[in-house]
Amino acid sequence: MKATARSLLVAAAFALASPLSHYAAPALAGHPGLKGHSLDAEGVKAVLLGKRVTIGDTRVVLVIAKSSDVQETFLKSSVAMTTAQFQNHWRRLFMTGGGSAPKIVESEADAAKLAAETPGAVVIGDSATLGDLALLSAP
Amino acid sequence: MSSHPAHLSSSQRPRTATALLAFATLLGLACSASAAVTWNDIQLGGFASQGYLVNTGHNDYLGETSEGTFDFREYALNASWSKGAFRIGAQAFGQKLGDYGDDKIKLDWATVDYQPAQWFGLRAGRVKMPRGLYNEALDIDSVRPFVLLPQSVYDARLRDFNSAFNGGMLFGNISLKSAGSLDYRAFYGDIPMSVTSGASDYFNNDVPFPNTRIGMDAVYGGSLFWNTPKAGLRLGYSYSAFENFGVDRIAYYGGNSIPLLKLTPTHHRHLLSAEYTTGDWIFAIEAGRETARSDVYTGTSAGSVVEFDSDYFYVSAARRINARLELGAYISYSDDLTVLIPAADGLDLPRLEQTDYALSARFDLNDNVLFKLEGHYIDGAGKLFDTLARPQPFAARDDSWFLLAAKVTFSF
Repeated sequence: MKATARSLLVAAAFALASPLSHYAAPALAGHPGLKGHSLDAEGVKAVLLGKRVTIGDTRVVLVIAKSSDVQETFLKSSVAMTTAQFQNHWRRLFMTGGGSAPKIVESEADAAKLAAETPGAVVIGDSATLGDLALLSAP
Repeated sequence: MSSHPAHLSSSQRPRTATALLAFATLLGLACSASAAVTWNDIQLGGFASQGYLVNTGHNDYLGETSEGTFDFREYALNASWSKGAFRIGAQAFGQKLGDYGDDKIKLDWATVDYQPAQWFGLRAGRVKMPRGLYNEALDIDSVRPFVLLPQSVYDARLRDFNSAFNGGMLFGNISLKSAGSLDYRAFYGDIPMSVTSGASDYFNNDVPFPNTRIGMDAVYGGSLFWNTPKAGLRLGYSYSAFENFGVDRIAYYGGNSIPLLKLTPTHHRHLLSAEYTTGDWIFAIEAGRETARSDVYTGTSAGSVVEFDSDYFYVSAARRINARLELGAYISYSDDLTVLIPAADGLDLPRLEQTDYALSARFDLNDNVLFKLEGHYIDGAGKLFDTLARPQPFAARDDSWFLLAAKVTFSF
């Protein structure tokens, strides 16, 4: 009886853990052409804030979602900004001749789709759903 | 005051303002993206704003504010293109702020960037001047809750003088590993000036003699910002200098007009800055000092010396409450002192102090249109200009007054 109960508990734990792991790993990814490149924490910050404008010889094109929990978490941990503050940072740059503005799309899925089509694109996404994108910074 | 040419067309201004406002609102309703528009790899961005300013009493601060004025608007359109380490771009800009700007479209910035490495870049053309936390973003309403940035550091009347220079700039970001990183900028160039600009009135504020020519040989300086290991905290220092800054003036003494040259070998500007972003809060503090020692020539001989010393600071806080509302507040203080050596009879120059307490609310109506409302209590009137066109002698100013500012901005 005890063994059956333990088995049920373990199964339930796996059942709960499996979907949760789907959302738990924000990562920085890029266009498939950026495969082979990787960024440490400093590099991630430099790329996201526009202080580093190329990866290899390719110009970085940031793609962000208007709203995304994964993106919000990643931005807070990597550059200490909310999505709104991050957009303000970039607006200040591109409106004053200091950088090229990120492309902004509705959702995280749209961002991943656009990144897959845009050479040099860098996007924040769930590591479990990156598809063919290049993983630039592991969670 | 009413004889000033800028006042002649005042009846047309509300119509212009209303048209701009309607245009911006319509564009905002039609546009769904909050970022720049991209067309054939060319990024386009811009904004248009219309504001209203009114204050109690009879001080005229940022235009004819004692009677209320719609002469407070800015608009710009920019385009840029980038490939590899290169980027080119330009922005056209127009404004009306009281007597200044006059809705003339000017080249605001136009640059070529080459940044081969994170630590090294080169920017040339008409370049935004790096000074403090916000000088490069003076008119970007969408990045802050304030209608007016703290005027002790970012005087809106000096925009055409402070915002950009013609020349070149080195810039980059140097990693300090666990100690954070350094952003540096060093520049050299020139600032074209006009006697109809706000800067001309600012540098003519000691004695209201008219300037007939104003200019400098060069402007140079730079900024150094330390992005500290404490997330969201950055500290900086900015310096700029104007070399051989000269003003030709006509002085009136005892019924005679005398041509003068006021020449400043070097006008120094220092500014210390700190900004801390945590959660939905942004805190900032900046404190600066300007000093200049000028020789006044009549003909070829130096007649007297003018010493100028200006100290200023502000402290601000802003908080995003929700997606539609952001609140902010600041205290801004300035103290300008001009001393004539030897002192001239009848020219007793007072200490010009002003403290500004501001409360702001920003409402995001949609992704592209925002509205701001701001109240100021101002103690002192040291920042008013006393010019021939708008005489405001120190003794006749209101020392305690309220200013209301409202502004609607469309941006894309």
